[in-house]
Amino acid sequence: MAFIFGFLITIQLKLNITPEGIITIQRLLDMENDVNNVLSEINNLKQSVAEAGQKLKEYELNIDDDGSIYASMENELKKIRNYAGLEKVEGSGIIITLNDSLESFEDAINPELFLIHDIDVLEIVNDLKAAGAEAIAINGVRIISTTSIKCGGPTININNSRHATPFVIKAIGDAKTLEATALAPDGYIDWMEYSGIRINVKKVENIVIDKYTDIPRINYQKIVEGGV
Amino acid sequence: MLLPLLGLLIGILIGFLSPVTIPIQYSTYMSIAILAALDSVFGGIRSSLENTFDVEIFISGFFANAILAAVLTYIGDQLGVPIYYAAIFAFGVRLFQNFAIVRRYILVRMKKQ
Amino acid sequence: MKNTKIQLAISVVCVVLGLMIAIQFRTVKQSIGPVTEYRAREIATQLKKVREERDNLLALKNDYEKKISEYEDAEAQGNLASRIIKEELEKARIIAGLVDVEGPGLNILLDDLKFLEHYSYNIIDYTDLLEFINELNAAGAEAVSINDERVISRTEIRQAGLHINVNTIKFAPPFAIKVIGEPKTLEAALRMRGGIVERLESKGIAISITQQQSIIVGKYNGIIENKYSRMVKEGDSN
Repeated sequence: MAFIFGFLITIQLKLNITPEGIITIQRLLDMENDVNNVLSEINNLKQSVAEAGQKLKEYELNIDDDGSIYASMENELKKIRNYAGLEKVEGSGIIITLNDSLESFEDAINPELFLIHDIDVLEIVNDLKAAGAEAIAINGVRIISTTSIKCGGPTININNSRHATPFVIKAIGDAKTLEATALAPDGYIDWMEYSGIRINVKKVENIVIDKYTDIPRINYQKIVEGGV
Repeated sequence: MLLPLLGLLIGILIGFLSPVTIPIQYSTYMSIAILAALDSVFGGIRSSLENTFDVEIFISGFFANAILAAVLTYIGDQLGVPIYYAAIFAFGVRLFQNFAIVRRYILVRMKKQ
Repeated sequence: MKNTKIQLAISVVCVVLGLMIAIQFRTVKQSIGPVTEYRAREIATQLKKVREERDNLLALKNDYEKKISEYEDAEAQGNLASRIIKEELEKARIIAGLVDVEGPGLNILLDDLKFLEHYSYNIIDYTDLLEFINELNAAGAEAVSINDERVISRTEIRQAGLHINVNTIKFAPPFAIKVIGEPKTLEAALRMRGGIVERLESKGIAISITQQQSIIVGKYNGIIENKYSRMVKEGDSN
């Protein structure tokens, strides 16, 4: 009797240990999150596959037409340079102007709060990106993936250029959404205003943002063999 | 028979009305503890019908079983093996056994009357 | 025959039992529903299926891109102008983060070792990641990825409850950061006195940094939409 029980128990145990290991609710939530992430990736991939397929077809047609894809490549180059931030762009968006607080802070407990710091600008730019900003520039400097914003005493260094207040942040995108994000009730800018930092946010019909002009950083990285 | 049932209802009521919840990852421990408590209750009812009830054994039994079951579950979690199935099996078997004995007593008593 | 003492003892345990049942019921209810082995297996199969679909799409995309590159290379053989355009294209793709790149750099892991203990909050927050990437950039980083999500000019790092969104993908710790650049310079900048590593470690975050001769940073696989911006038509664009 006991032997049969033991046997059945072992079989049951073996059948119920799923390949994912012991199932806890936390793992379940993690797996659901993974599924959602992958679904989102699939959506994006479907679009980029379609775009790549189209480009390929375009090249093939060009070869059939006149044996050269030079014109197509030129177009592709412009498009990719735009993605990289290497082209001047224009469009609707918002302009945020930041100025140090005018209040006297000699007796303040924490005079640091009355100045604009690199983290402030970093956070604002990050919020703009999250709100779908397509191009961002600070005091005329185009922001790309390798742009750094660091405090340098009374000024802020954007990459290697030094800038003092006022800081003018231009962002092209859906002006309404960008403005809403900037002015959000418990957003970063709202918090900054407590310390008296003067912030101005305004929607603009047509903003022009320059291209990235620094030397591109391609000293250490190169395309993986067999890539592209 | 009435008081324990009342106690159960009171407990359920308090549990529902109070804002207390436990973190989700500990819910396996909670379910094991529930099983341990159920097992103790039925064990207690059975021993009281057999006049072998001992308060200390009863209360200590509840806590000891719950703690052992929790430890087994924890070890099982760490090893990646559902050892708590052993506890579920043990409690379950004993639960049904006690329940059968209690049922037998009640039916016999009813037949005598 | 049960005397009141026995009844009381059993009742007390019953109260506790009732309490636990109710709490358990409410706890499980507030989560995603009954956790059964069945549901877990369901999700596991679904995960496997969507991963396969995603991998197939990725393979298709890579295949198209390879063919595109072949056409471009063939064209580049033809004449100098085409070769220059092809080189410019490759450069632009690298800067835009649209190709897999490799080079010397660092392999970094940021972990919150006690994540499961204080599941209700996270000691690594989005600001930490934001500052970390910023430090890397200031130290000359050329290509960065967080948990294999390539950081491009539009990449946001956003707090979403307990998770952090990068390129709208939700992540929980640990965070694996891959960066290409001069390994010694990068690590020195991170480990500076009063720098980011010191600050994060004092918060209880575990950081491990390994210098690599060669590390691969994957390409951005998302979409880049230009709905509101357009290129300025100029006489010449450099």
